[in-house]
Amino acid sequence: MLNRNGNGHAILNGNGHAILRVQGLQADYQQNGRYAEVLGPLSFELGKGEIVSLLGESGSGKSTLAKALTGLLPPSARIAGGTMTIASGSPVDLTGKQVPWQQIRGRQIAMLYQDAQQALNPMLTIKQHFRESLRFHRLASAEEVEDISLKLLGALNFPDPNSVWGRYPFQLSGGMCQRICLALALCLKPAVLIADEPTSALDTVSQKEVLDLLLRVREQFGLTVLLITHDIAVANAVSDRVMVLNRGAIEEEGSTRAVLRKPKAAYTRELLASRVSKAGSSEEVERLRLHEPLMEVVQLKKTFNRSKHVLQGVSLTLHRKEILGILGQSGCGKSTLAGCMAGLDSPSGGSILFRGTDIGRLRGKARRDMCRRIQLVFQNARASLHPGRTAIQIVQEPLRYLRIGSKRERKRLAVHYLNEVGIVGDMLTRRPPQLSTGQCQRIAIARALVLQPDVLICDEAVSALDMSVQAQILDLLKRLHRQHGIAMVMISHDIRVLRSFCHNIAVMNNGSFCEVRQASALLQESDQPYTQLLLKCAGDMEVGLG
Amino acid sequence: MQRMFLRKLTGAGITLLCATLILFVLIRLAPGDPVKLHLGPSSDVALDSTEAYDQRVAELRTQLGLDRSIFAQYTTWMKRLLQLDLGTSIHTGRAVGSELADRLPATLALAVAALAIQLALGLVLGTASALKADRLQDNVIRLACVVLASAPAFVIGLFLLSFFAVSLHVYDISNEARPERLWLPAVTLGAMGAPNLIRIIRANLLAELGQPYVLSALSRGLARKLVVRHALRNALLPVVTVAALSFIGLIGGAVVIESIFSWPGIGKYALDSILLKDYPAIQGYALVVIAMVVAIHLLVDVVYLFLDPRIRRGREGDVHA
Repeated sequence: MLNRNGNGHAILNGNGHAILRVQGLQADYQQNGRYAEVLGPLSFELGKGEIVSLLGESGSGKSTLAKALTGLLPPSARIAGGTMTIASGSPVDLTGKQVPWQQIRGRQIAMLYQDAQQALNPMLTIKQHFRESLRFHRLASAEEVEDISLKLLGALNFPDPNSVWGRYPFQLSGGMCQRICLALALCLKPAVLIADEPTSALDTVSQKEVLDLLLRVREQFGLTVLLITHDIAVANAVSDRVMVLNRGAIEEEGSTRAVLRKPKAAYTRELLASRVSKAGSSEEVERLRLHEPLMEVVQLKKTFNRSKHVLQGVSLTLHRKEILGILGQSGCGKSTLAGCMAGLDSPSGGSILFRGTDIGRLRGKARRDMCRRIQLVFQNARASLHPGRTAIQIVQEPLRYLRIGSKRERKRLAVHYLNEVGIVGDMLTRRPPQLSTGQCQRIAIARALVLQPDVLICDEAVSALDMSVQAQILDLLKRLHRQHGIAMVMISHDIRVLRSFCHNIAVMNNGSFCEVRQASALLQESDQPYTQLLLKCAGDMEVGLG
Repeated sequence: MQRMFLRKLTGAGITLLCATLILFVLIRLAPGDPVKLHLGPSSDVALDSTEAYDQRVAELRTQLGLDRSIFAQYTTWMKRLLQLDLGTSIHTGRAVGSELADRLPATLALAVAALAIQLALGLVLGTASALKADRLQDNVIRLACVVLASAPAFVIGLFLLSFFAVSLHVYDISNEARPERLWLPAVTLGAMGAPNLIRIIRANLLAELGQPYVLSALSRGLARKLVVRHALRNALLPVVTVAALSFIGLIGGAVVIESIFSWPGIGKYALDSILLKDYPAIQGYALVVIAMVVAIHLLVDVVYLFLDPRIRRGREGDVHA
């Protein structure tokens, strides 16, 4: 259970002294030979046993702060000023070369990163990770390592720690890896834990599990946590205090309740307003049924390696102008379904009908034409774009491949659709590395739209984006849907994204749908235990946010 | 696992078969007559008339079976091959199998020594280059790589030979495959192949050092040296393939260096055979090299199975709890 501690200040004041005190922290990044300030001057304190959220959009300097406090800034950055005091020690000048990072990192300040799976060495087993950390810091003898670690893993909700002990990170789910990273951090008994977006790569259920653990760890180990996040619901769920960071400066600071319910700073209000709103009327959905079905998936099955049944008989109907949401945890088969529907993957059984034709049976030109009608937008926008091509070239590519229009015509179309998604002016000739993730996703959407598809499948198209960018992209998709009447399939693990947007939502678990319902109805009540779990996890995190 | 291995083995066999067939046909389509090249031009041969010369050529051709169709020749060659007989050299009249067996150890010794030097240079300089990326040390190493990689083999070979053998008199000029003659061709081949490995190790290590697990290990307070070792292990994984390809190049393509240093390996033997259009010798050489290439590729797959847990454990299935 998430039990929120409303009076965060009491903990700080009650204890009297801060466990981490940062004063006048300033960090610069080198740009074209000059240093540009990205952080500070910034001062804050963390009290013992406090969970403080640092809330801000990407680019606000959140991660730079975490790196500055652990001495892990990249060579292109430097700390221009500031001191840090840990517990009752003497203040450390962070600009100096003599900062005893070896004693601070891990032992006093521990870190938790966004992508836990990547934060573990793929070549080492979990056992080796623990052994290395404990042995290096001389916290355990060779015989004690297993005992200490397994006990800790047990405390972190691993029902059978022995089963993960000899495993490699890639064999574990993202949520499990994050819990292992947490255990690795805790085994060194740090005073402060800095968690940098620890849950943004996880699905709703794992997200809640990790957040619950943070709360429990605070109780059990008296740990102080600085939680860096862009997600207001996450901050709301666990933190005692919130600091809102904007362009390297703290805009607003106070108890979670005060900041998130009665924000004073204009920026905080903006941030809160950009949270995805609720929508979806039932008359609209009824009207959709009058349209003919555009796409029908009948008993679709997909099996990998002859034994892994990823899709076990999925059926759905997509009407014209309908937006269908597919909700499910990671690993439930959502992306495989998307791949099959877009013709990228061939199903092992069942059929996919597009306007009555089975797309699995099409070959050659007919198949290419069909692919054009169904377009896909991926989660990782940056990775789905050619890094060496400009935005215009990227959007022209599918036209060129399908030999549509003359050269001039193709360029005109590309510019038109790029403008429509908000890529204008000199951004047209920039390449993906020079653009933000949100802009990359816009280009990816333009690339899909330029073929004038009938169906747009968005596979977690917004989950890697910040709240405010997420809202912008969703607005964009909504507008495009209104203007072009494209049917959409929105795939997401985030119920908050789907409920604002979709007419119908299909809840997917273990390769099959457990229910397909109208979005508004699904959100009010559900008799399916799995849906209830998802709703509850999302709801718990938003208590009091309205 | 066993099934996968069996499938790879079958694939390797088919590759070998196709390669020999293509080669068999190609060398016969190329201009030049092995019999005439063996006998020498008619004016050199002690026969009294052109007619007699032609008759002698025809006789030899029948004797060698070269007057039959290519397909018939191939089946005969295949039949013999199944009895582990690679045929007889037209030029020397000795069994190709034993001629190759005499020379193969020299080539293998050279290739192994050169590869060892390449790997040592690649590992040391590649790591040194990556750890000081874009500083002086890195720039010097990279410049040296460009110079070495762009110099032709015979230039470096001849330069080293004249320096060590003629100026310093520390290297014997002979055509024997003695161990004390190995170092110079090995160093030459090693230095020439090293830039490729240095560049790849540098790039891989830099990429690995940017991985989240490196940052995460550092944030757990581990020493930088230890963390670099982790990154290096990951960075060296793809190097196995590069090293294997390099080794194949050393076996099949060391012809120039073997010639310059008069190293009696199979490369030099192949070159001589090609000039004389000695079909059985060329076929035998090609078969041995192709078989080695196929074997090395198989070996690489097996090595990865041991080195990379992602390949080894990938099939066991994931845990979800």
